[in-house]
Amino acid sequence: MTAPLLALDDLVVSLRSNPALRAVDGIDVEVAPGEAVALVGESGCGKSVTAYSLLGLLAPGLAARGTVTLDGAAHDLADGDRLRPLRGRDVAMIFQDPLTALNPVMPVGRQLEDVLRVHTALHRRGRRSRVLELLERVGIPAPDRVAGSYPFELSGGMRQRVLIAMALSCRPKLLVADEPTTALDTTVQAQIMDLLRDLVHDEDMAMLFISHDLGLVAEFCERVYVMYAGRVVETGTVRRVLERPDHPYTRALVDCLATMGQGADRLATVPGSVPGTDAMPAGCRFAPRCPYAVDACRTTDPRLAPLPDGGQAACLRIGELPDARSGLTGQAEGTR
Amino acid sequence: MRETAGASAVAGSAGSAGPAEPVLAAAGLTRTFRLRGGQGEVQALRGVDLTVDAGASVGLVGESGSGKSTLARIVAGLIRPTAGSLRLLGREVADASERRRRALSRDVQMIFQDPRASLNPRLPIHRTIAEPLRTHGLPARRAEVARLLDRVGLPARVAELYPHQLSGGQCQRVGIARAIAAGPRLIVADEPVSALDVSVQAQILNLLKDLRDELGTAFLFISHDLGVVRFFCERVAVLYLGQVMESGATERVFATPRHPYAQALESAAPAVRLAERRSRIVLQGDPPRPEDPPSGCPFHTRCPVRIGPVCDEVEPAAYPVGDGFARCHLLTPEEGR
Amino acid sequence: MAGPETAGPGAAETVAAPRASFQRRLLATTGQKVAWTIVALFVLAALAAPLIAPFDPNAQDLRHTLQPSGGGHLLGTDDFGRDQLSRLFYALRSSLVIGVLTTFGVALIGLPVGLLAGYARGALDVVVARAIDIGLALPSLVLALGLIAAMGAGLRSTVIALIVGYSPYLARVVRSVVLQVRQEEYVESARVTGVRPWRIVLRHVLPNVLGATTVQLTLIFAFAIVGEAGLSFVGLGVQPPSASLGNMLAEGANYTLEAPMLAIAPGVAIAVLLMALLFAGDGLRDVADPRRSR
Ligand SMILES: Nc1ncnc2c1ncn2[C@@H]1O[C@H](COP(=O)(O)OP(=O)(O)OP(=O)(O)O)[C@@H](O)[C@H]1O
Ligand SMILES: Nc1ncnc2c1ncn2[C@@H]1O[C@H](COP(=O)(O)OP(=O)(O)O)[C@@H](O)[C@H]1O
Ligand code: SF4
Ligand code: SF4
Ligand SMILES: [Mg+2]
Ligand SMILES: [Mg+2]
Repeated sequence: MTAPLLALDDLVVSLRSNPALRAVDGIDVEVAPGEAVALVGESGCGKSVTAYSLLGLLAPGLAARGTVTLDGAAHDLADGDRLRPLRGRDVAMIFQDPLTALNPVMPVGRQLEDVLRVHTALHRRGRRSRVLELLERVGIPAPDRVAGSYPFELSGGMRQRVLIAMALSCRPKLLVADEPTTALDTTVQAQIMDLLRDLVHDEDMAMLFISHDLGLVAEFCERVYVMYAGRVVETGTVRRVLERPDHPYTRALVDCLATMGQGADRLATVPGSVPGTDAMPAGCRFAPRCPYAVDACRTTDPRLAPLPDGGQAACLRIGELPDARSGLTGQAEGTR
Repeated sequence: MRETAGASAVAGSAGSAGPAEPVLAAAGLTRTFRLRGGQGEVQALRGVDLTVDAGASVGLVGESGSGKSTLARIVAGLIRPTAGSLRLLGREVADASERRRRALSRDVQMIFQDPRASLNPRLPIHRTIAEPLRTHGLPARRAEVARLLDRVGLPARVAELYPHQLSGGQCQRVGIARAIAAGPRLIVADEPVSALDVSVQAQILNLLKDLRDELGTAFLFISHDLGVVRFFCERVAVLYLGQVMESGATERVFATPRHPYAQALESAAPAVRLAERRSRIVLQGDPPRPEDPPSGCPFHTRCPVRIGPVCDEVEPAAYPVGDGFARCHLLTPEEGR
Repeated sequence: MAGPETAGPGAAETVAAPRASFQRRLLATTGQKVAWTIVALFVLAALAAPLIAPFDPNAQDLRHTLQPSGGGHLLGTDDFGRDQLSRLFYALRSSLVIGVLTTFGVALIGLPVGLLAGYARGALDVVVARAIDIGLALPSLVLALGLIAAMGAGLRSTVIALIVGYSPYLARVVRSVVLQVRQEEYVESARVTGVRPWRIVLRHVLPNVLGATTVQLTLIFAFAIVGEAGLSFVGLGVQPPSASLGNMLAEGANYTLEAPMLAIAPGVAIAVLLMALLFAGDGLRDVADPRRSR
């Protein structure tokens, strides 16, 4: 791999009220320039917390520890304010709910101009025309009109486009997208994903794409980190992870999806749910839900280890598990 | 005693619906909302025809604002239609009085999208589950509540807890227990798994399927996720701007959609299977606002295969396709255009 | 029955512990501990007034009027030479009685009216809502003056005047909360279940409205004490020689130069009580809400 654009090293996010409780517990993430990398997992696994700590935007009740190296320069994650200069300029973020990320009482064009004022040396005129240019770039049909609109006057898809325009305004090297299409309709979701794909390609921007939807990840990203209960449990190329998932959690997730897509009679499930920060099981955190768990799993905490065919997984029984062949490799299917 | 009274009332309702009578039959169902401050109106539903046979599951898909919840709320008796006919278990309820409508509540139940919001935060779970039993004069002892909890896969001690102490998936199981408690013939499920994680979705969908097969309850099942509808429903109706654009057997509609909107919707769904990646139809523009619907075919502003002025001017009729229909001029015999 | 993987999950999931104790939730923060301690001290002082008051609150001593503190009179004496501290204890009694009675009265009228206005539809809603508006529009002082003129001044008529004045205010708050609660999915699901409207109001709407109105009720308790003081300034309210925080403050205001303590003591008492009540009210709301327990 070329020198990474982003390297997150041993990120720990703990609760200020009780530092023994950790929402994220020692994860490493790397993103190469121009690469689209996914962070997947059920809700509550720590995906958003990871993204927010990267930008120094953690909720006041949480404290981060670790370092982030961006484009060769290392920054301490403990001090969120020190990360502020990076926001917008080197790293931009888009959110799940575009409405809450916009100021409700200001036309979106003015909000875009404000961002430009902070991060560029453009003059008034220059800013105005750059705003229209950006809106056009994200596929907004009448940039003039939309620039003068308030967020509530725009549809969800339009608002997400405005947020993307805002994120692009300073040509960031990395775009962090936290479930950017979860709140959108299927057909609008397809539009936004298309737009993001083009942008990553044309602007040579890297992307950290957070999602619980493996389907989107499969279509869109090159590498993936699978998170469970604040840890990375498997990582590798999307192709390998979806076709031959090694970790039992990834297998379970992939099975869920595969059975849904196949019109199966019953869906594969992952029994139970993600443990909260205050109820982390000892040993392997997935053990209470893992069909392959043995006694050792309840006492020994598995660490990420390299896999023979590339990538890494954190499971004590990696070599002993039955051969994984997810349903996603694409045998012909009756309905198509 | 009340219990026997309740039981005979059900027997009566079952008797009035003949064996061939669908549990739900809507014809020309229309609902108009007046906008705040008298600024015009929205047609949330425009002449919807829909049938759900006893024990069948019919899916309803469509984008936000297409009228899915409006239809669900009408069927569940929360709001009234403005026009059209709605027969539930063989009885016309479109203009039924509140009391007559309430008499049907034992047979028509609903599962909501937001599992936690649909449970009263101040009531312990056992009281929420017992409510339909008490309301319909059925025995509501703790053992009965425990049996219902067990049936939806929850431990009995959940009965003592409050909604905020449960996960979203657990809350939805409670919502399901409440919905099946009084033995309904039709359950309206408005996006019952949309707020849940994929893995929990799968748990809940399996549970619903088991219960359906076991109890023979019919479902009107709303979702914007085609995969979910495909798993759960034999038939599906595709809603756009308050109209059914296409309906038919689920497999047929997803394998060979005939309406261009149904085609776009089907192709937009992310495909996980790596071999299935394909070029997809990405629609241009946003769905039109329902308060300002386009003339002619409601889909013409985004339709990638629009055939000409006829689409802008003439509202297409429903053409039979398989055992369902589709509303598109493309299906008109050539000379009829 | 559900298959193995649907039966398992509930059991495998962590299920939270039952609700924290009433006390623990009531005294959740230091601020609330302090507030409740103050309220409790005031109530105790009022209840125990006959025991702890060093003097008869009405015993006059015309040779020692307007004394500064000292000589057995911790807070000095007033213009009739009565012991200020003793009067303060008794004043607390009447003021708290006024607060409690007014709050109860307002709750008794405002809650049902607000519930009715919020949950009823059509003509009934319009009529009740209009009545509330009219009640709010009437200047409360004029209303109180009229009522007291008709019934004669005194504690009873003061309470009635305050109840009439504050009820529309509570009714309006309750109505708007009801309008919001009735849209909640759990109310809709009760309707779908076929629960009768009055039962929905009692079981689903009222408890959730109560939670949102406890703060209003403590506010009204506090307002009642201040309102009585206001009435005392125009010679109404609790009539001398009975003491209330209001009439003590009003009388004391005549001697701010000679004996500032006469106004300061009841003034501080009102202010402290008010603050404590407002803080405590927040705590009360949290107690009523299972979601806020941890
Ligand atoms: N009470 C109401 N007053 C005014 N307009 C309403 C009301 N309820 C629904 N509408 C309008 O009716 C249309 C259909 O709404 P509906 O909630 O049925 O959509 P939906 O298909 O369920 O969408 P979603 O996927 O977002 O849930 C929308 O334009 C909506 O704004
Ligand atoms: N402000 C906060 N205070 C305490 N715990 C939090 C806070 N935000 C998130 N958490 C906890 O951190 C964990 C991960 O949350 P999150 O990153 O939001 O998950 P995801 O984005 O993967 O759904 C969860 O257990 C959540 O409860
Ligand atoms: S370590 Fe054990 S419990 Fe954990 S994932 Fe591997 S097999 Fe399952
Ligand atoms: S009628 Fe015309 S615009 Fe409408 S879907 Fe058919 S081809 Fe498209
Ligand atoms: Mg998240
Ligand atoms: Mg809806």
